[in-house]
Amino acid sequence: MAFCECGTGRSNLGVLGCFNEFDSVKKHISVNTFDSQGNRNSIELSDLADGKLTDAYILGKFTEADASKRWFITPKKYENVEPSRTDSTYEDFSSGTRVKIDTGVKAFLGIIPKTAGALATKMESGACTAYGNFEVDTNGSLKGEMSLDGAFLYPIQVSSGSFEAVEIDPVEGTSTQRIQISFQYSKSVNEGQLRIIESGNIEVDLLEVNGGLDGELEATGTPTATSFSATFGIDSPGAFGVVIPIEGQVEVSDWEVIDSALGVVTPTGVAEVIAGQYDFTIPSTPSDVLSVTYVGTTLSALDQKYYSNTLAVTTP
Amino acid sequence: MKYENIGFDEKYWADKSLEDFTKVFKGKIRSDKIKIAYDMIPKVPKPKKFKDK
Repeated sequence: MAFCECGTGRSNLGVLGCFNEFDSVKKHISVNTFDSQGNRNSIELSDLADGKLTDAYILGKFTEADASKRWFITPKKYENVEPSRTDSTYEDFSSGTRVKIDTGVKAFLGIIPKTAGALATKMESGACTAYGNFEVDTNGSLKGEMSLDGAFLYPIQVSSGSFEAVEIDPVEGTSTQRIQISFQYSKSVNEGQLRIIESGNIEVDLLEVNGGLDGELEATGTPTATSFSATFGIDSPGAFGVVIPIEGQVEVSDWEVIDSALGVVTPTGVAEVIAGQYDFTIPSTPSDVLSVTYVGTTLSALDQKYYSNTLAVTTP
Repeated sequence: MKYENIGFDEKYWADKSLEDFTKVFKGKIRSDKIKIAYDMIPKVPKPKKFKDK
């Protein structure tokens, strides 16, 4: 929203021959407006390395341990995106003249096709916090709101309470199952300050990045003082009673095992005996309660990141 | 460090014998691959013994 300036409000209106065009929105990266320390989340100008957003920087944002600073990207590309604007409001006088009271705000409507309703529920769960979106367009460019001093690019603030994600059932012969996303941007967004980081200056193709996946660790078998077993999988988002195994996570360093005295118990070995079922061998730790968490890291923002619950294992 | 479907703490196994390694991973990896996995682990050199004079 822009404000009328009295006296000196007129500006030179020349434009350059080319400008950095932003195409239609294909993904959103949502992030809390403020982190848990009260600092406003942003991309700082100094975060760019030779003018580029590096893979390491983006990976750091997507895997940030503090969820209040983490970037959350929508998993698939939007289709049928319909940006719009709510109506501006005016007061009409008896003389026939009208005066503008308020400018309408930007609104977004898009669908994510072939997606189960569970995703809509997850997206709704974060909608009550103060947050904003970086927009990612068809080319993979990223758009945000630049601070007045040009030092920060902020996520574009979403109007609190306006977000909705709902499942839409398929129509026979016409459309597939999908979820529909809609929201309004905040009135406080200064549209004159919206800026993009072009895809050529982003080391990662943001359109190919998937969001983190929440895996579920569950105990299986009978623990001993030197071993225990667990399954690691993802509840199918669309099917009842189906767990999709998370395979290949056998690096010892990908697992954190903590004993009841908060000491680290490094597994001596991790074996995937069947898909998604892991046998752990540990130094002898009798009569203890171990907290087991998957903490695997990824090397690129394009790699799939998994998270897990913490599993309590009681050794005899 | 990992090999096939097992991962292991190479520091822990650096001074352990093949027999110890086999006891833990027997049945979890094909028997003909256990030695391959064990040989991947950098070993702590055994101290040299002084020759009797």
